Amino acid sequence: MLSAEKVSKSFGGFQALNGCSIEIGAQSITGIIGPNGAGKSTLFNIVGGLILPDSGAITIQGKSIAGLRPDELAKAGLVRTFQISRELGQLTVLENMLLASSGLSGESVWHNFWSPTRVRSEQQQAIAKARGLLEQVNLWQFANEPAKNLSGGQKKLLEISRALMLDPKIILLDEPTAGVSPLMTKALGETITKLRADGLTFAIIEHDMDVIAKLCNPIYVLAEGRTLTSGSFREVVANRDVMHAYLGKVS
Amino acid sequence: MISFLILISTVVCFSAILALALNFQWGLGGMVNFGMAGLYALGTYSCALLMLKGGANTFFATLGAMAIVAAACGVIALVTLRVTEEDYFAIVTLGVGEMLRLVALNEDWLTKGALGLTGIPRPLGDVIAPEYYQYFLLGLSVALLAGTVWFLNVIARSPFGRIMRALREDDVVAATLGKHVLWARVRIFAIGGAIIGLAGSLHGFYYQYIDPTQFSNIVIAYAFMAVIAGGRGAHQGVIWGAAVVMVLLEGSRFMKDLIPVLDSDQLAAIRIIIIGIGLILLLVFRPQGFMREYRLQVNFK
Amino acid sequence: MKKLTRRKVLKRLGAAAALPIAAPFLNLAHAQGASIPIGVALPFTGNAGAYGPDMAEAAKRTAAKINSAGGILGGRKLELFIEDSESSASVAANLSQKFINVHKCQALVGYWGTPEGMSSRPIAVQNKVVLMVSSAANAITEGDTQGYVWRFQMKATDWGIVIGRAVQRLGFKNIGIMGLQNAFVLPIMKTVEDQMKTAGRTVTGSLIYNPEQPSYRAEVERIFGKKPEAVCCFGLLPDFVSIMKEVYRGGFDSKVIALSIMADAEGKFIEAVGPQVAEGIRHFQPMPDTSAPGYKKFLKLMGAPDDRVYLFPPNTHDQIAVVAMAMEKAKSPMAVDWSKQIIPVCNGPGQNIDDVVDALKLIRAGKPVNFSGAGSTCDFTPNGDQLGRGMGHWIIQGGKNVFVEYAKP
Repeated sequence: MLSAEKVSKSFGGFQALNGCSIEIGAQSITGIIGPNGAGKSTLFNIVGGLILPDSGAITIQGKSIAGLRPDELAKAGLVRTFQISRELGQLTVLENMLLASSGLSGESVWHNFWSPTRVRSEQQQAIAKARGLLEQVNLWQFANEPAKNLSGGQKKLLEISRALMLDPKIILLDEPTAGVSPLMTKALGETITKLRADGLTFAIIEHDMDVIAKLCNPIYVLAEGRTLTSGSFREVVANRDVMHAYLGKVS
Repeated sequence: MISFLILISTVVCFSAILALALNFQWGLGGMVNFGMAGLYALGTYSCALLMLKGGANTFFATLGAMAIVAAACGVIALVTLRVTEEDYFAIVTLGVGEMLRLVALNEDWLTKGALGLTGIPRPLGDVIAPEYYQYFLLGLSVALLAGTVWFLNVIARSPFGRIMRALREDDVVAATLGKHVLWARVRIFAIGGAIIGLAGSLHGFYYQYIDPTQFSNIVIAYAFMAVIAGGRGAHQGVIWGAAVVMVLLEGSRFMKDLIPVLDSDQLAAIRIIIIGIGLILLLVFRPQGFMREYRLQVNFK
Repeated sequence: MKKLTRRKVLKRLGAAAALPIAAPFLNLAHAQGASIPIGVALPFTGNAGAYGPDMAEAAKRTAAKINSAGGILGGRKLELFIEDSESSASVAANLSQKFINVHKCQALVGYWGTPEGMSSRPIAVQNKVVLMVSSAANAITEGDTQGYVWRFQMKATDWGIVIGRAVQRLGFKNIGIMGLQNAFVLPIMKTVEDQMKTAGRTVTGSLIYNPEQPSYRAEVERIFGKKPEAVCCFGLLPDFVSIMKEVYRGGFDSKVIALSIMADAEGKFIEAVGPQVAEGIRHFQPMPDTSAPGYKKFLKLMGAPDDRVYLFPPNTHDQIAVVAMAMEKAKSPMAVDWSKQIIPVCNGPGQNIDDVVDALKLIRAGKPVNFSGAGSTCDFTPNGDQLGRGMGHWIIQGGKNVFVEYAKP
């Protein structure tokens, strides 16, 4: 569904990505692993439209998306979350969710004055949708709380729920379980599995091997800016080059 | 005495409108505007020149001034945010503000330079008798202030207002969630610009004489004080903030009448010190200002 | 740190604000009937802050002198309300409103700078009170002032005439001119240029510069670079300090002619640049005729030594004096009545007199007077300009101002 071919990017003298290629199949949960500095987050930043690649092609269902702005990508069905939670702390949990609704006529200044009833009813619908999503992850009771008051795991769940408001086709998750308790991690895993069954595609950067093992297939291993290998969890774990990449060559 | 209070209240009204514009752009929208003084001058001069040179009546001149300042702000936002890093926005606004002030000072074929523009017409100035005019102007200013508050409140509580607060905090997230950041920012700055134009027009109607010295950077300082004292983002609070700043500025003149020991030299120096101390105390003990900004709240059924 | 609730803050602020809000009402206790209020707006801060204190002192002593001799209008005393105009147009406008509406003044005096006068003029005319300014810009008395605006200063164009003539007398054949973008400088520059042209001399270059620039090197090079014999520079103290430093650094020889508000400013200029940079600069300023008896009386009133030169304070003395005399002659404190008596009291015909207390005695006895003040002979044109004023001409030598001559237009 989404494919990145031979993507390269350098920052100053440092080559972060060097002809990296990955393929994310429709309705898959594709894992991306690799040692620190391998270029995983850079890849997500490029695919997510925050940085322009030096070279390479990025396509969704054959159509190029390179160079599109993040908001244009969102409209095309691609959303990403961030390694360190970027919930909007000063807005309430519900406001975070409502922000993600697309196509609200209230987002045009004019309509708030010209058609206030329509703005109001659309907002009610958005609240209903947000409520549904928040109840699934047990966050509805915090709807009026400023988002900064949530725990780390709750913030991650909020980010994912928020992304879901956009009815995306594909979600990029950047280390979703970092700093999250085991119980929450389990809840996250269940949520992701259920969503995949509903038709979503996921790409997940992770360091937690349990999560990768349970959820992801296929798995790409990135090292030094390119794809080292890919395959199922068992195949990847048995691969000697992968060991070397993580642990360094031992003579 | 009542006359004086009426006149000062009128000044409070359009100062509050200016502070509300800053609150909208910076308090809610996170866009620092150091070019306030120059844009304010643009509003006042545009309104005055549309009347004096263009023959427009006060109503259309005001609308024209609002449109001109809104367009200027829109262009500033569009060009700056496309071309440079966001961090440089404040400096660019400072530069533009200075530029506008210098244009007012030097282009004397248009603005009569340092001499200024006199005889600025006022709304219904020919119709209402001079004895009653100050009441009318106060009423008009209060009405316009109320209208501005209502207008900005509707926006602040709307989905667009949500986008503004999101942009203020983290524009990357807002973009990731499908919001066109540049277009939103241009609109925010332009709407603030229209409000500045309104305040500028009222300034001209009140003083009926404008010269470049009236638009020095102290205007920016007073506007920021009003916004900070009032509570960034809270519209009603900003009005209180503007009123407090005005009361401190004008009311402290009366201190001399109460404390005859002070002579004029000493009072002049002490006044400014007192205003500064007052605001510092306020910031120390109540940094969030008088009021909190609006947040959407739901009932749990 | 204690957390304050909103209610507490508003309560405390309300209490604090009550003081300045209540003050005007408490002030009403002073009855309007007994004293005659006069509003005095002077710069204590801002560009012209150096001049306010002495001008205020002159006004106070003049009023005290009149009051201790029995006041006017049957024993009523003059009461001065002195406020800082901050050298600003909008502040002065608000002050004028306060004087008229709160203190019920029928006379507004002081008003050193052009912006203050310009913004207060429509307020004075609308409210039918008299405004007396000490500023030079022509525009203040232009048009129909309905007899309410009076200038106790030399008009800007007259300054240009005096300086232009002096330049010719000093024998300079070509000059450069540079001036600050400012309402009173521009007419001076223009008049000097016209003077040069009629006398067949050359102006090698002329430019206008902006206030508060960090550097004036480009402007200095443009004008001094052509090496004229002299350069006339008109502006204010801060820019002149910067300009002269550039001239010195650039090693330019042209003689510099300036105004005393730039090149002296109560000694602040020489303090700022040092005697070497200041050497040879000539400066002009409208000043009282120091040989006149009226001026000498003023020096005694101020308790100053005989050689003290006051540029502006004599004007406030004259303003207070004229207000008192015109009110006495009209037998009314209302400006609508006594504004018409200003010219009779100042121009005559009548007995020449330079002491305000003596003049008041004569007026009460029904005798006509022709008042000559501390700052000038106080003769006015019908539209409010003063005649007969001259300028002092000094040259800075050895770090001191040396008086050269007293020149009239």
